[in-house]
Amino acid sequence: MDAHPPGPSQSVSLRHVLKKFGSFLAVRDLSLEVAAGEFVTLLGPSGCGKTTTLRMIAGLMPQDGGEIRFGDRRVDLLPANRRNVGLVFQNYALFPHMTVAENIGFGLRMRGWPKAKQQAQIDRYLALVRLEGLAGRKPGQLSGGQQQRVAVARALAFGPDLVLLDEPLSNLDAKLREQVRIDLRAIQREARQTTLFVTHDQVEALAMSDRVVLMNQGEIEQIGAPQELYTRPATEFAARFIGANNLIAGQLVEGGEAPRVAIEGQDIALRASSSAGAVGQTVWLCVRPEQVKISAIAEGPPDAVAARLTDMIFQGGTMLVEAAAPGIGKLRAECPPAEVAQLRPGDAVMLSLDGGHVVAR
Amino acid sequence: MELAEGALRRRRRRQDLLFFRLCTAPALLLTLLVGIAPLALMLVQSFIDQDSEAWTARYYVDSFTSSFFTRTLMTTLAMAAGVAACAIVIGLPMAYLLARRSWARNLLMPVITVPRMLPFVVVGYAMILLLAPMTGVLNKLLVDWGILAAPLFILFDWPGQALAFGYSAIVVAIGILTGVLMAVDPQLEDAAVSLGASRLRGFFTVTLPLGMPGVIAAGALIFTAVTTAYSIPVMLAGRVPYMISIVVATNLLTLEQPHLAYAQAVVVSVIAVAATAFAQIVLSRYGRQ
Amino acid sequence: MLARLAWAVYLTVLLAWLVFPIALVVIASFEGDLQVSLALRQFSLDAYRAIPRGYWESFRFTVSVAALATVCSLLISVPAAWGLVRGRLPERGVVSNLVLLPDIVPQLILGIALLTVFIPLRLSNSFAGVLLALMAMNLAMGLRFSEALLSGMAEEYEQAAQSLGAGRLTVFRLIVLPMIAPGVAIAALFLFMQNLIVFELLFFIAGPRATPISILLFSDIIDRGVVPQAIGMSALLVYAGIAFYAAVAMLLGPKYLAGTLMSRKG
Repeated sequence: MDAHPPGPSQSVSLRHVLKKFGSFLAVRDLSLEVAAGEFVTLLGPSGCGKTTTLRMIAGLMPQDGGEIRFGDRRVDLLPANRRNVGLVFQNYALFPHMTVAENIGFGLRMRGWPKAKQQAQIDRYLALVRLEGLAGRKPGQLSGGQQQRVAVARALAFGPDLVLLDEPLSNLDAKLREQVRIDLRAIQREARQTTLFVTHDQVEALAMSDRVVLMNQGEIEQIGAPQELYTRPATEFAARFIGANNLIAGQLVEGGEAPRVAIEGQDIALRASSSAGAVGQTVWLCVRPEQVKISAIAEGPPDAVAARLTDMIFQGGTMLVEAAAPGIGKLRAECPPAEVAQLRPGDAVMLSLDGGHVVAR
Repeated sequence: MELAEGALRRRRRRQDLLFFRLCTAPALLLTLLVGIAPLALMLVQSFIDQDSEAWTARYYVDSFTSSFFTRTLMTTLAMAAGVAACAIVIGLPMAYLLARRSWARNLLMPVITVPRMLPFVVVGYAMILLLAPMTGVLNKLLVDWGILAAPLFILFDWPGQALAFGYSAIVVAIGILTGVLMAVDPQLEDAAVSLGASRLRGFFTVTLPLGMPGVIAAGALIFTAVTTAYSIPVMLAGRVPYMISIVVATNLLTLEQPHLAYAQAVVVSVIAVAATAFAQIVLSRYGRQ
Repeated sequence: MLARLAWAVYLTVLLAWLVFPIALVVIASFEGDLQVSLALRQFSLDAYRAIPRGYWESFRFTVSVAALATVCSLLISVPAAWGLVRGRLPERGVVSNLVLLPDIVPQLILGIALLTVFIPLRLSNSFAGVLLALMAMNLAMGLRFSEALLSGMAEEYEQAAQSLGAGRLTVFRLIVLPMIAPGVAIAALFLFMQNLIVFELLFFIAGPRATPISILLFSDIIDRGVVPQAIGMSALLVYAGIAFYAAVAMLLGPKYLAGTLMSRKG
């Protein structure tokens, strides 16, 4: 039955996938291509349809339309147990009555692998997730991070076409999460495993993915590499959801290579670095906090905005500065603490907001 | 193409349903055969004349026009309601203690639990050993101590039966009330006390209203159990039957009036099911609050 | 002070009332005499020796039919609960209430109703008849218990097994059953105990060839009055109750008993 040997796994394609709950469209006409070996993240707020999509791919929820293919094999009419998908649940769902080795070997056992081959594969994947000594333990005797690695090994061991990860890091504490993020990515690369990862945490999505699929209200807002999503959000939703953008209302007055935005209620036009709008359109100018330059009132460049500091929050490596600009509203800046050591809340400053990204309003 | 897919998906869902329906089928079938069908048959037969096999309501009319039947039914219901009320009042303080003090639970739980694991017959035997007019331990003690001039002849009469029912009923009441009161947050009562209520007032204004579902559930359970009890009423029977179950059984077994017995059984079950349903309705009202 | 005194009196009287009958049966069984005295003047096992063969046979009958009914009804009600809970059947409410009905109708009435169908089927006064009657009652409690167990078990375990390649029946066998086994064991213990002491349900369909012990003891007291061997047998049933309590307390811890007992009805 070993029809799907481990190794470079399948590409995945979703075409016009649809899911209704009564009259509510949870997933509307979703199409997505994932290359073999790629790590793609479905990112979005809760209720955006990302988990529903994952469950439809796994076969745990019937879909109402569209088709799903792994390679050229059509799977959406197959039951879950014949799709050859590795699934890692948020709570891991490790079988509590089985040992770590039995958990990892479950998929092999279901595929009728001979005992010796099963054992070799279990050992291989125990080594991959660095749990060699714990084969005989029960899940209840493991830490959260160890359980998570067992769940990953279990999902990989039988050589699935695709691995699905459903918020697998949300039950770990912050420090562990960072380590597991790196581990998980390393394991995925080593296994060259096509992976779909679902999360609402943009930091995870940006740090781990080859590509990020940003979803909202059952639809794809934007697909792109993490850097692209971060620096050039395609829509207002993307700009608001990813990073703590400053969104400034304005009108696009110049397009092309050097776009300029006239700020509403102000007599200035700011230079932007990129634009997703047409000239004359009302737009948002998105400026990342780390792009905002703070200077004392006398030294400000000509196109800077006058503002008053309202709060300064020390974050270790950076200082988060909040300022109120008359006519624009609250703005946030992030900079090395040394740069703003002289400033205090209440001081008048100039904020340089150049180099932002423009999205349609 | 689209149509075929839709049909396939629907077929998959139908197969799923079929699989799970097959899982429930044996339970459903057995219940229908050994539960629903006999009850339905009994109901039907209670409306059929035993001799002429014609439809008739005469067994119901006969029952309710017989003063013997109605009187016995009334004494039964009075007995059941009385026992339920007394058992709850008597059991409530104990249940409160068990719910609030874990040492009491650990210590007294066997005393509360073991009696529930006994057949009523054994309880009946115990009552006879305790209360029998000449040989009963209690009677002998009371006479020996000079508290009573002559032994009490209460066992084979309604007080004896009430005591025997009460024994099991108190145990049931304590069990259920303890479970419900344990679910009531003790901090609520503490809050009432800190606001100036006395402990007793706190109990009656805060804990008891929240524990009311337990009172209702225990009441309904005891009421129906006593209404349809058979072993105790026969074991401790006096000259006049107080309990309706004896009337029904006599019609069925001795007087060879099965259809009359069915009609009376239907009357009794309507009362019992109504009590349970009433409790359920009140409980769901509580649940919604 | 007065309150403490009231509590002390209340507790003493109530506990004495609860303990006395049980204690009396046990004491009487060791006196071999119906003139029970609390002084335990004489100690003998006569009452136990006097237990006739008929009692032992009836006891064996009761235990075997109770055990078989427990096993059979759980074999039926656990898959049924799984189908109802996981299958999301549209008729779940109806089925579940239908199965619970024999538990809502008083046992006495169900017993009479069963008699009417068992006589023509020659099932009254038989092992099979008693077994079926017990199962009708056990199914209700078994279903309620297993539904609660399955609702309390996250569905992810089954979905994980499915996505790893397990078919439905394999999921049931390898995942569901082992995971709810402890709860099912407790349910079995409760069903078994209930089956041992059930009276009203079986009174009408029992007969000379199928007599549960509680009904045999009952007819003896009606026919012959209180006899020592009946007290001896009653004492044995008290020990069974105590053993059951000990078993459940060891499995669950005494503090959970109150809550669990509630589920016995209502």
